Amino acid sequence: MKWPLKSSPVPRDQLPLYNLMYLHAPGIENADSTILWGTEIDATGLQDWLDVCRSDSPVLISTSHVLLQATAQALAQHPHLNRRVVGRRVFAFRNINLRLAFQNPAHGGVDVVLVRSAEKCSLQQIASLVWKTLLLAHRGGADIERDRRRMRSLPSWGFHWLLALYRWLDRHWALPTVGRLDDLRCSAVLVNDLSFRNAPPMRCYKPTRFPDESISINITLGPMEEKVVVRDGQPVAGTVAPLFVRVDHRIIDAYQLGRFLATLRELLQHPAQMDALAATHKLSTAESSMQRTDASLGDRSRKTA
Amino acid sequence: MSRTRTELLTFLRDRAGLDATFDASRDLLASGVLDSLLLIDLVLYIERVFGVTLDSNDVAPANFRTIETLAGLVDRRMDSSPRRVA
Repeated sequence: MKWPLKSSPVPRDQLPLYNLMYLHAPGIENADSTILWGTEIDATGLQDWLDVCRSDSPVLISTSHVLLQATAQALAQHPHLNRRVVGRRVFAFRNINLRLAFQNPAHGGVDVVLVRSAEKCSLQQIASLVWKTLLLAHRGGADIERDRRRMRSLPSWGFHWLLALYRWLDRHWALPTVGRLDDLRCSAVLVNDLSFRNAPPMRCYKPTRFPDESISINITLGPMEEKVVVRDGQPVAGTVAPLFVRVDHRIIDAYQLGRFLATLRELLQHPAQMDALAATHKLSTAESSMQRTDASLGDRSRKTA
Repeated sequence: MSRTRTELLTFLRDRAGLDATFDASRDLLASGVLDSLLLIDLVLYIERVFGVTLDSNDVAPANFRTIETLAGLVDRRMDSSPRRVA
């Protein structure tokens, strides 16, 4: 059993007034708390970085892997987004875990890869984990696949009531995760890479919201396309890609979303810096855990003395 | 051209809708032909047709650069695997 959320909710006085208004709205018909911001990234730097990775990385790196790493690093810089709503309270997640949606032809539906503590992962670690999960899922051999099969085999009424019970519990309590399927709830973010081959150009995209409210943020990267861009005041041909972020106003407002999106955009346009950032996070975690160990050893030696 | 290379090329041409000018030496990564969905399909096709299982460590640019490099990997794995005695 794991507890993905911190034990206490974010104190009410730390939440902006207008977020509270959405949080305490009596029903869905009285408020729409969804904010959607679409922007465009200059994908030249991203393409160059992928070329570099393809020449010297032992693992094949794709756009999805860079998008995951950029999202994790942006969340590390804006931790107030790594939260979710439970009832009328807001809880922070303990770790920066990310979900990546992918198409699984084995059953013709969408599956999800979970990347834990993603801000500490190098690009190669993320890529290795994603390929491993994808291969396992497509072969139908993953344990989680058995759970999904069991879920699908439920009769409609059983499926409905199981989900209704789960949603009710999830809406009222900061639940632990106990199984493989509900383990996916330990992440606030769903990352979608829709830049697959022959995907049509994307002008607008509105992602859905999962019924259990555990996904507070959806990040979608669309297909790259050639466009006229302005560089150094001159119109030139460049590669751009659309980027959409959907958030919940109960957690953040449009200004905070804009700042987060600016960070994410910057990281995607200059991805070479991200492995160094991941190493810093890993090091700071190791240092703080050493400090905790030192402190506990100090306590013990004082007690012994 | 080896049987492996021909079969991989045919599979890729069919699946990705490539024309006959696309040959086994073309860079699959730089040309953007190979996205993650097609790559996984390719791995499963190799498993099914050639009986060679590739794992996540094999998903490396050096192996998937061209049809030639991929066919080389598959041939090496087939050679090193124990042969069935008829």
